[in-house]
Amino acid sequence: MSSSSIPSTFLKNVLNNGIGRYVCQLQRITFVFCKQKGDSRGTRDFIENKLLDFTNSNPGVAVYLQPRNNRSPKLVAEYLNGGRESIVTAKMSDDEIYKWLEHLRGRSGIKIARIRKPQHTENPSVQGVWHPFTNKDSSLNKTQFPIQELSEVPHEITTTDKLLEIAKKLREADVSMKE
Amino acid sequence: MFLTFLNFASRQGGADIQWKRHMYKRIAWSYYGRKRNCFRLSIRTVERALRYSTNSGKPKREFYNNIVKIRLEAACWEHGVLYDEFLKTLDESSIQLNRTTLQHLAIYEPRTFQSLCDFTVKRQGELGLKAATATTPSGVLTRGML
Repeated sequence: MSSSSIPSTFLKNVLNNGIGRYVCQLQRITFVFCKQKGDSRGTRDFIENKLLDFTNSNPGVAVYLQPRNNRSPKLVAEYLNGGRESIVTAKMSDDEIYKWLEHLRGRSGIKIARIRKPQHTENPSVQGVWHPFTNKDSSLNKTQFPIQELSEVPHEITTTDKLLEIAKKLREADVSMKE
Repeated sequence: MFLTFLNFASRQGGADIQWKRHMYKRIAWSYYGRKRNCFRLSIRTVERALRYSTNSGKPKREFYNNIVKIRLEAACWEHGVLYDEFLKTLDESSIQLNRTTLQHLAIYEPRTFQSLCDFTVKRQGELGLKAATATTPSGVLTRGML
């Protein structure tokens, strides 16, 4: 039940980002705010004071400002893999908004979900994955099956054999007694 | 006027109740009928479902540990080593590999695992020779015969 509504995922990375070169996955960021309302005060302060520092340090990110009347302020981030994240920044101070912005900058577009294993690899095996013939004699590669010797039932002394032997001995003892 | 009682009695200052309802709605998306849409009805089903989902912690661990044990036993047996002896010898030799890692090696790095098994066999052989000269454990009476 919970698994369908609380999804889980394996560890993912976007195109092995960071293993060679690191590319900032944030494509564009949109500030939606109101010029009048009190909710947007922090956003307005941020835009006035700290936005240009952010843009200068992140030239690869397109920044859009959308002043929209009477709407709650939002921060919408769009990523290179098409993912989208939005954060409602109502009543946040400009410091808080800066922190959220930095958080969004560091993310890829992959949705946050419970990670099942902390590791993932495309190439788990160097020596070759085990198969039933790994530890067997390599002459089996050139043998033609079926093999008569291997198909034979191994002769073990069964309980029936033992009983028959006992019966035989008793009969011989009987015969010798009569004689 | 005595207002503190009212402060305790009234439910104020919490989060918007719609957040909780939204969460329950998200969890109950696949349910049948009004349980899916009506909060008061979905509380009953969702809370039971969340409670039941906590049941799987211990059995899940046991299940996977059992699988790891079976795999390791089979892998050791292929190289002619007993599972308990294998782990004990590794522990005594300060080879600190846990069962999950050993199982991973057995599957994905079979030659490394083979070398570990060969090591344990050799080490057990060495111990076998030394057992004669080692001190007898406490509680065992040999009367000088061993």
